[in-house]
Amino acid sequence: MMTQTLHVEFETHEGALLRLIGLIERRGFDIHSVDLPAASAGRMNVGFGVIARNLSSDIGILQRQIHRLTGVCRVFGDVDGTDKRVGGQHG
Amino acid sequence: MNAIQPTIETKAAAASKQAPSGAELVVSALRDQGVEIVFGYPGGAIMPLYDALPGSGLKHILVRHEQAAAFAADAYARVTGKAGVCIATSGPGATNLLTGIANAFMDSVPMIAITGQVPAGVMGTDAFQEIDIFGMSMPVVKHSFLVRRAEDIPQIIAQAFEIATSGRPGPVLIDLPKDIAQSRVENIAPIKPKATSSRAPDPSAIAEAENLLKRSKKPVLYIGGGVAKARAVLALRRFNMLAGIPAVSTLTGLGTLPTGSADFYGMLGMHGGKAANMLVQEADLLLVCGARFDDRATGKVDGFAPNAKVIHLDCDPAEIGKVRSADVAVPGDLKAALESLKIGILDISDWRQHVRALGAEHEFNYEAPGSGVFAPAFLDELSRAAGDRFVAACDVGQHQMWVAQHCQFSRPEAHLTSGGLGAMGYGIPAGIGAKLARPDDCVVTVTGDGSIMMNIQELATMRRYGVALKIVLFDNSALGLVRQWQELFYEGNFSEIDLYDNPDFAEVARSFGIEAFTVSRRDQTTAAIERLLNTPGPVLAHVHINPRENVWPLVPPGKSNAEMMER
Repeated sequence: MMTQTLHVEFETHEGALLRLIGLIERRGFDIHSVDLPAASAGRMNVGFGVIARNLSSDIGILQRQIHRLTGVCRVFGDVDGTDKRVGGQHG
Repeated sequence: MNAIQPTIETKAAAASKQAPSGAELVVSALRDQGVEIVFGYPGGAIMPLYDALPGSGLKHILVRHEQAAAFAADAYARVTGKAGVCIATSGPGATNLLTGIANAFMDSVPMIAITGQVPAGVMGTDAFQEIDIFGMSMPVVKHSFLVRRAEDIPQIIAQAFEIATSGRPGPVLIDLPKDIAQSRVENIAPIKPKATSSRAPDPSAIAEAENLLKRSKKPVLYIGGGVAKARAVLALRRFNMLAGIPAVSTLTGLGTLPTGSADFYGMLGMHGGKAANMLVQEADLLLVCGARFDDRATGKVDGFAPNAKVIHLDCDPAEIGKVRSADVAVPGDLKAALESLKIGILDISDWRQHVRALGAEHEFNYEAPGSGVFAPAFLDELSRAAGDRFVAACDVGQHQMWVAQHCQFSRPEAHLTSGGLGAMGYGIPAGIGAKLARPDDCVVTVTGDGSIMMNIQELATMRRYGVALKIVLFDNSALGLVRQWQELFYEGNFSEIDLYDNPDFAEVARSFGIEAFTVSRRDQTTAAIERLLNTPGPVLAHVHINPRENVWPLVPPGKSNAEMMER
């Protein structure tokens, strides 16, 4: 399976990174690599290289599942050569 | 029966002039959120909060197991629409809450779970009753907080309620170290309100949906629990009063359209009605409102509604396309979306006539051989006798499916069930939470001889607070649903389902101070229901049923909903 890249910008609340990693793993993706820069102004932008465990795992759905986490500001990724972004406010 | 009043003296905050403690801030922040009742169980690390409770104005319900506190708070939330609050100490208290928190997460129920934690200075040292509940609960909470500074408590609690109740609701955990709860706070951080907005439906998606609906010859309205969560019940009823689209519901969507109303054909799925499943299979369009295509509803996904296009309305964009792709996606405010849909009168009279005939042909049959109590008929009669104030708090098993199939629900909050998690033990604490929230409603816990033993200690809570909950216990001396599957799908290899050595449940109830009686013949049904409903206080009816009775119809696992097995 192909590695896809997912960038997540989030507020660095306690446990935020753990929450993100847990969600990605639980929703059917292996994390292949992590690009973890230092936090700045209470925010962090982490890049994940992810591989779907099976063909039915849709990275677009994963993006929306990540975006509904409290404290996630933006999710974007290079999916099938297209830059797909999920943004805005969610409850 | 008179309630036994707890004898704890009111501390009245000692009327001290010293700065408030973290625990006192928790209490005042809960009051600020309009909380009246909390469910909990004290212990070492949470003692500062319990020290602040007497005289606080909050009514605390002392359960006998923390799991029951979470289930009761869950049901309280389901019937009131407000967040339910449960409290436990660190370590085992917190882990005992987890099943209830998971239950709220799976069914999108707003809940605030407050756990005590060991003092911050010893966290990470494997201290007595230390457990990382913040980490353990992550997969089953909408969000969580670990309180690091007492002055943040008002902000954290305000934010927790906002998160729990907005958008797609869910549980929020607040882990409170003991030393922080005890510390005095001179300067309280001001609460910064965080505006949340729901996403308005996209007008072009609404127009596309209208076009599909107008062109459809065989539309079906597919209702999930998300309609009630979005407070869109009236909007949906108004919409379908005009549209007249044949409707089905998931387990958690029952009551959104009243049972028996025109165009409503009951529950679909594994134990759905035959008509409901057939009309979905024949549909050319599904208008899906607040549902997530749960596997218990769809059966084999590839074979589900094979000829239907899908319009999917949901407040949670992550649910759209997760299981079944949508031809038209309408994420965002479900109520606004339903109010926006203008489709006039649809030309579907042939379809409606066909569906009506299907409904008439496949109505449930309440005839059964023998003279024993037939649970489906008992439940049908019970819910009709109880009327519009009837609320069923189900446990999990065969009786849960019989309730869904055979009871009359006038509103969504009349059906409290552990839908996503399927947690045995939910019934009695959920009934307690619902009855305390709505004392004038006729709340009936329907349970089985397997489920009741998971939280039977809560009979003591009923007794203590005089909770006038009615309990119907269907006793087949077995784990009935497992037995049914072993009979049908495991070649009759009955493994560990025999509960032949059950206690006499009526005697057990009486020993807790609860009135109880036993029913074993069908001709006792009407009298039993009358006694149950006319008893002013808590009461338990121990109803013996045929151990070989199964739930019908049934879609076998891995099969399409078109392949239903029948009695």
